[in-house]
Amino acid sequence: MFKLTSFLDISGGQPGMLIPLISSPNTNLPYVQQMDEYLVVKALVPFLEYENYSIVQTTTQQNVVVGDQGLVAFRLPDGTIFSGNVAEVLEYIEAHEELIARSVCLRTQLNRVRSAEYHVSYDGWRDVANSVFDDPEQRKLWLDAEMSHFQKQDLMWEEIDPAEPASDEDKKAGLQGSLDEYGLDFLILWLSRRANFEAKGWTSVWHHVNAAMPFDERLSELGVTWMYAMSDQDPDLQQSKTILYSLLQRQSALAINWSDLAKFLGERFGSDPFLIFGYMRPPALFSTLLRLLAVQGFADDAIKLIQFCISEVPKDEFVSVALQDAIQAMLAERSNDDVARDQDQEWVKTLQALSEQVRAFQQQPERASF
Amino acid sequence: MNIGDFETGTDPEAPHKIIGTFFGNARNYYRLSARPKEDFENRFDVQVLDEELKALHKLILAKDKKYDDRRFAIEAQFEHDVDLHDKAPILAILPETYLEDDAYIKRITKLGAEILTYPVYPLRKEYFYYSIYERLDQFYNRRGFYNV
Repeated sequence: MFKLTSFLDISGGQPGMLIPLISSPNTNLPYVQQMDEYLVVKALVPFLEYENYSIVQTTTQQNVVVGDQGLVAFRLPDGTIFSGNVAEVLEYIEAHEELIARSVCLRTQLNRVRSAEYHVSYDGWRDVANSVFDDPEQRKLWLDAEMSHFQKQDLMWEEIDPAEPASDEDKKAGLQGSLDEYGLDFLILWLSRRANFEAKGWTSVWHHVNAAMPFDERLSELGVTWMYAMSDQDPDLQQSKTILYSLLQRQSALAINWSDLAKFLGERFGSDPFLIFGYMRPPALFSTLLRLLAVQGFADDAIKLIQFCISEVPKDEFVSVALQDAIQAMLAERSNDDVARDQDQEWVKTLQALSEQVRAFQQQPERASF
Repeated sequence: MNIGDFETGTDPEAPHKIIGTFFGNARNYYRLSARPKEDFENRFDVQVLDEELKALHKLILAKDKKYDDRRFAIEAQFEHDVDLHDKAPILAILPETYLEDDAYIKRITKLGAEILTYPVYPLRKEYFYYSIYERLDQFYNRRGFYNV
């Protein structure tokens, strides 16, 4: 069962639509809904970029289930926030038309949710155009685009891929409809078939099972195996990002061979350190990744990446904390091992110098640069 | 094939010729809508051994998620720098919720860019992409960018 936790404020504090953020009780991953044209939830997908937006916390208790109507949320002109399924939204709109009408933009957005007829929608667009744009040409451009979009709605949804897996491989495996219809052991079997690795929706299935079985070691092994297998198709490690985030959350609790994973990742980041920019947020991902590479990867790769971060990445506090933590962890490893200490003197000197650079940066009142 | 096999030399008309050959017109190129296979092969007298040509045409039609819309991008290289700072953006496509932010809209307008928006609900990544591309297609068409 997924629960509403907060909203992404894409309206900048103004009246308008919000995006519900939801969570599973078994993982730390935030999720968002993927809907169809009828606002039915077709999938719940991990969403790690939440720090790019303002977050509005809520204490409202609402659940989200795949296959049911999704949650629609918005902020009203008086600042209050409403969230509910389509039926509840329609009821709310009817009871609060006057309040909603105070914001022409919100009214237009809700017209779309309630599938208002063309003439009603047109009145809304015209009011928005008149209220937002001064230039008549810009008004006409925007208005025409809205009209065209309205007319093409059905066509657009016909051309958008269905949310359910539909490739030949998926059909062979029988994954049609909601994932809730399948037993977890069946899904693990499906995930473990190498022929399914490239199937659309593999990561969604993995996250679905991971949320239900957060301590099952098979999921960790499957996630790692999939990342290795997909390394050619995922050169920028973006498809792997949510899987890796979940794996790193599990890292301390489970004992699989993280050293191989660390070496695999160290090599990828070592050969293309710019990939780290895709792993800066959320901070927990950056810090746990760096620590994994530092403690279990090859020292050369980890040092190279730390040097790159010191010179290139944004100078936020969490970055310097994570760098210092990784450096200290590497130094501690070497001080615990007499044989290694003798062999790794060069590394120790480098690490101490890097640590000094980070410390100097941390002590600067203005964090302009390293 | 090597990457050099795809070079068309210095003919400034080459992009138009490629688009005309494989797509017919600029709008079809934007939409990655290739000429039908039969039309393509008959019109240009494609023979059995012209495997590379057939493969390129097939690449346009590929629906595999391994290939994105860069699969038929035409790259132009210049001997001189193109300074993007000198050119103001001409269009911004934003989520419709941004329209409420007066300061934001004014700032974009001041840059000289026109504004179009796309819906936030239903929440669906593919729907956002489709809406943005549809808006852009309409803008190009309206401004005559396809009439080349």
